[in-house]
Amino acid sequence: MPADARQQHRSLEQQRNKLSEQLQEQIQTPELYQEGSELDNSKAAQMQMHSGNEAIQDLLDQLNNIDSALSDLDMEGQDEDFEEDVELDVEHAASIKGGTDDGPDGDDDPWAQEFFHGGDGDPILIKRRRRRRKRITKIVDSKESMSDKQSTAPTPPVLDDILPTPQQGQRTGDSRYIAPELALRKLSSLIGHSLKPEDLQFRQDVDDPIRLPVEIGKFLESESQNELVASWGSMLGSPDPSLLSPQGGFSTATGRLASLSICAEAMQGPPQQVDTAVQLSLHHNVWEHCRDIAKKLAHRGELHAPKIAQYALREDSLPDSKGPLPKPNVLGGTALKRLLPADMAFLKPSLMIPPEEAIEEDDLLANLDMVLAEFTGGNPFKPPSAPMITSETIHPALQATNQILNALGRTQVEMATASVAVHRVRPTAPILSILTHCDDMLRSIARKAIKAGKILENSVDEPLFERRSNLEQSISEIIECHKSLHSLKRWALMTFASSVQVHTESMK
Amino acid sequence: MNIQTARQWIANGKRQKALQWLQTQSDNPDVLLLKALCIDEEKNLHWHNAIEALSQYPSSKDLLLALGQGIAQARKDHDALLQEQYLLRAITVASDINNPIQHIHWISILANLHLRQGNPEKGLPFLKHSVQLSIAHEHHLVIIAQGLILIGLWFSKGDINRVSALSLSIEDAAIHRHNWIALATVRNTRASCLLIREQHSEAIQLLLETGDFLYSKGAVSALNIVKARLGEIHLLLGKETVRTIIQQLQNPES
Repeated sequence: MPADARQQHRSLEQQRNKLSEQLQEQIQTPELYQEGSELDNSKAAQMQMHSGNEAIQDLLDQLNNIDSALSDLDMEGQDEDFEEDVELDVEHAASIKGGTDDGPDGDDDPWAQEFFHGGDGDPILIKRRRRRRKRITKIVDSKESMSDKQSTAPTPPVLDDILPTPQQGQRTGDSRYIAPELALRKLSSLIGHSLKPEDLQFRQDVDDPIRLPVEIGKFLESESQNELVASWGSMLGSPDPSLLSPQGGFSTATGRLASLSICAEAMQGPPQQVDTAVQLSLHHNVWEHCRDIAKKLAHRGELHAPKIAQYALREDSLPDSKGPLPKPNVLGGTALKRLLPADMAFLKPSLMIPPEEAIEEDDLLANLDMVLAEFTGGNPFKPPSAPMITSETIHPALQATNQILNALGRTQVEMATASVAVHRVRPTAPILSILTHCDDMLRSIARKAIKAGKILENSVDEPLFERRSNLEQSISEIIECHKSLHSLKRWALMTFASSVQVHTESMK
Repeated sequence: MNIQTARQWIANGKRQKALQWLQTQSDNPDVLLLKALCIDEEKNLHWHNAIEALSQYPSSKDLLLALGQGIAQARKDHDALLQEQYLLRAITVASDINNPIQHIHWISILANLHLRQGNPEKGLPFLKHSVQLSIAHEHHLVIIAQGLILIGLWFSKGDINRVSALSLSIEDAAIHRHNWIALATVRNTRASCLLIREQHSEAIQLLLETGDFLYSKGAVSALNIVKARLGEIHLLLGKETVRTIIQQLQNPES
């Protein structure tokens, strides 16, 4: 390590020691206020900084910054040593192969590089990177995961000996609204974190005690027809400063947000509908997950909803129920729709028929036309030829048919997405029967659309007058297919949402 | 065929049929109200027409309905000025027709609108009024929701006495509704007030009592909120101090 780096290291260590002492002092004497004296509001306001976590948080933040600077310094030192080793390795490898590490044109191709430096049984590890960097990798698995929080919070003390955790009791009244509690299960995520806006902006996942109410608020604000619910939703959606006041600490702020979420849900309606819908609306990454699986399955010709869901959930079989399908849940359907991308465009199918030749009504001009026709080699007495169907004529209708077929494929993925979200909320929800019904319906719509498309295609080079009614019939069938698809999707999403309340027979 | 039949059609989802008949009628407050319900385009304009027509007569449920729809439309159109105007009128109309629940709701919405616009000074009187009325009418849901917002504002201003007093009302409402998360939150709040008053032992005692109550209810998440505050107090006062206080509370004689 060079001399200037050592000096910087020493200075940082001194700062760290000083801050540690200050922190200790802060913990021991949190109140500036002397016991026994009169407490007025202005004094209390001054003291709140110290009764909350702000003061300690500031010190901890500074300490963390110094720690990371120190670790960077250490890392740099290590990297320099490491770099020297690497250089040696590269040179060694190059000398063996009789050249430098500047590879041929195919250097970017990993197989090419492997071939150049040796075969399968001859692994040569060449590190090219000059500087090792600290990397933050966000792992997005099939479930929403607790990401790396900007965890500047101190280690929470062990509290289970003072207040042990009970078994979840029977839920009654407002405690039946479970969604706002989903982020309150991990104690360490509730203690002593920063409430500064610049820190809060990094809280992204739905299992975060700050982000979860924000997501609930956004959903209720946009989807609720009740103005008071929408108002509370907007207070949560971009949290009002009053809800995040640092007095009372991070734990109380998260409590305020969760309580307001519960009130908004309770004002919206009964928990079996509203809380289900809210929980479903939180599964944002399910679409991407199912789409990726669908891409793989499409290559194998297995693009249908039950299969996609089965792969996405890594289950051999999906839960089913023999009873009647549940009554649709409208808000839940809206919640599931929010997980899906915007509807695909659909151009209204039509025929592109060229305008009919106008018959000249002026005798003089009609005679002139006849003369001209005779001079140009035409038969002036021949009636105009009957219009024929060309590929241009049917192009807009065929385009609409293709759009329907594409939309049908995507709907398979969308249905799978909805079922996966439902399964995440309630693993016992009977999703198979709905998926199977959707699959059957989608196949039936596809058959109808293909049949209409074939009629259109086969009509090319046929006289338009003879086939016009057939073409128009096909067009109305394509429109019907679009309407059916739309209705099926709407029904399916609402039914999936309500299936959360239904238990499979095995669970009963 | 009369206006009641048209209302019936709308209630049964036959909006197009109702609209066809309404378009044959000359404009009057009833017709304008039902037209606004049936027409999907330029809704703001239709609701405005209905509100203006109904305002010519004494306050009525129909006027409140039209104002409610106008407020919703103004929110969707991001027209905060119009939203505020309609809200003020809705508050008056709800009061005139003696509908206290609607009255409380519209006051709460107006208070929150001012807060959202970054104007707490303008919102505070409405916020206080909404909480006072909801306490008077035992509207527990609004007591909790609006009360917690008000607590946040008062807390940030250092108004500890008011925070503490309002916490008690919210506690009562939370117990009524079995909203254990809200109960834990306001107990945390009250404990923080005690902490500011240097009453460390009382603060910890309150949290421990709440913890025991929530344990008996099996309210795991709510208990976590209380435990988290206790954890923060550990960090604030020091582990040993807190442990000593807890031991004294558990064995007062020693």
